[in-house]
Amino acid sequence: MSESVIRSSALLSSARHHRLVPALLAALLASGCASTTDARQDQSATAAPVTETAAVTPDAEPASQSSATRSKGGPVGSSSLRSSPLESASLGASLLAILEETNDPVIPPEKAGNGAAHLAFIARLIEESSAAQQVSDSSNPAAHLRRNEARAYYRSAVAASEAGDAERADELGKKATKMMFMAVRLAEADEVIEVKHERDYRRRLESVNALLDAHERVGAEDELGTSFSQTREVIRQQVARAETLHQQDQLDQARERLDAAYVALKLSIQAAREGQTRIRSLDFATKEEEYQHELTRNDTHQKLVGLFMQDSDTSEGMKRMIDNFLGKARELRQQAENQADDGNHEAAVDSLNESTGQLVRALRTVGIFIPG
Amino acid sequence: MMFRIASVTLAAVMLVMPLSISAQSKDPLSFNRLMADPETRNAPPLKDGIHDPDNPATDRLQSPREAFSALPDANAGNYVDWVEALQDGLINPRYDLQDPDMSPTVMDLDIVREVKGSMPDVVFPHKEHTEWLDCANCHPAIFIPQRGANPLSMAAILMGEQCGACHGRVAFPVTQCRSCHSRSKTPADEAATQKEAQ
Repeated sequence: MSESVIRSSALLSSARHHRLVPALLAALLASGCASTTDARQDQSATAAPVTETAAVTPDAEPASQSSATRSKGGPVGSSSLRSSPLESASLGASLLAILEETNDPVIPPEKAGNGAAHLAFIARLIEESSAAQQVSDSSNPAAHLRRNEARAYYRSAVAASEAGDAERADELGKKATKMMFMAVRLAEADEVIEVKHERDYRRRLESVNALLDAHERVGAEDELGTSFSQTREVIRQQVARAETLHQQDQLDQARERLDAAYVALKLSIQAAREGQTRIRSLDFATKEEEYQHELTRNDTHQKLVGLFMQDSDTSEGMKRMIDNFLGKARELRQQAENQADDGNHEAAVDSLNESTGQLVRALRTVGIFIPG
Repeated sequence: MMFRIASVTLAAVMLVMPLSISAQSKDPLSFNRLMADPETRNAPPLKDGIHDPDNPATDRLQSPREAFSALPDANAGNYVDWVEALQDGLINPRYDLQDPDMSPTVMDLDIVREVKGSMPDVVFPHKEHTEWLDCANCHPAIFIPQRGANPLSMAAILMGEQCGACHGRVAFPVTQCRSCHSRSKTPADEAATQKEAQ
């Protein structure tokens, strides 16, 4: 049975887990899903994960105990489950019994035996974690069913641990964890997924628009002619159609169209610029601009000194040398700032260059080779 | 005669002394702080300070040294040259989550950024980046695809911005200066740069 069938047929938007049982049972029976190993082995490969893993198998079924021990996280189940194997004919009653019994929250094992810490972790995962909260808040009955399966596995794991079978306990504990993660995936609300898809669409649109602007600049810089610009216009039309679909709440189709436009744009820019080397030179319109650049450069070198000075192996002698260079660098920087305040940016640039030179010497002393 | 014996002895002592000193000293690369002790590189999960050594599952994890043993070496990060590994076909990462057959759109475009001072100019190779990344990974969130629109600062990069968004996190660290500052300044380059600026 697919997730969508469970979700749509159960129509359980706000029921608590124990109220899910009758409706869920009806849905499962109606769709012909079985939660026994035998029944699941007959399922086709196209069945959703819900049906592919056995929630309760004859091997994994909880050991029998009185109902008084259920809430303590101990093994649960009735003797009837063990003595009579689950058959499709008694599926409904058995499933109902299992669901009712595994609805109760689990708690960490009372005895601190081998593997108790791991079991305690699993118990927290099933009942206290943010994932557990997400499942509790979910309106998807399949998510609740998976959590109950996780609880059943957990109780079996605890029983195995108390019986001294650590390997079996570990194996069942892993199944419990796996079931819980499946529950979490099923519990993701449509709202969360839709918000993500919308955000992804917006980000893709932003990238496409940025690349369209770049495409236009490339065409102008390299004088690529009308066919290049016509390509861009076709892509713009694609993007416009995508936006129209998006406004009509057809997000999937919009995203598909936007992705097609994006790929076409990438290929067009790639073809135009393939094999080129573009050089970005340092041009400053004014000395003031260059002074600002030098300030940033000076900051960078100071940060580098601090970064590499964190090594505790630096000897005292080395630290004194470095402090000497740093002192000179500070003085020169202050001199540069004073000169800039007086409007003499040319002198300020020279002073900053010297200051950075002192920082480079400090870095070399620390052990970082900077050519020069 | 005595003078000759003394001279030979002195010469022998002077010859042996540096050898013994170097033998006693630590690794000659210890002065260079960027060269970490090989023993500390890619420590096994039980000793890497990341995984819980008390967790019984930790020792089941494959050791990075074993996993990386067949891959090309690098001098920093996790000491694997991942670009070379990809180009040599030693790894074949899946490019797309949904489509296993999709391959990257690789663009061979170098951007040379002039730098002040004595450091060589930076070369940004689109080819090596687009073999791993999509255009949208960087444009426009990290870098606007426009000349002059991205003033770069090593301080910002060290703080995890710009190139530092990846380098130092998931790509080789910025301590590998020569990996980026790879284009030496020559008079011809400077002349060409001036011509470009005009």
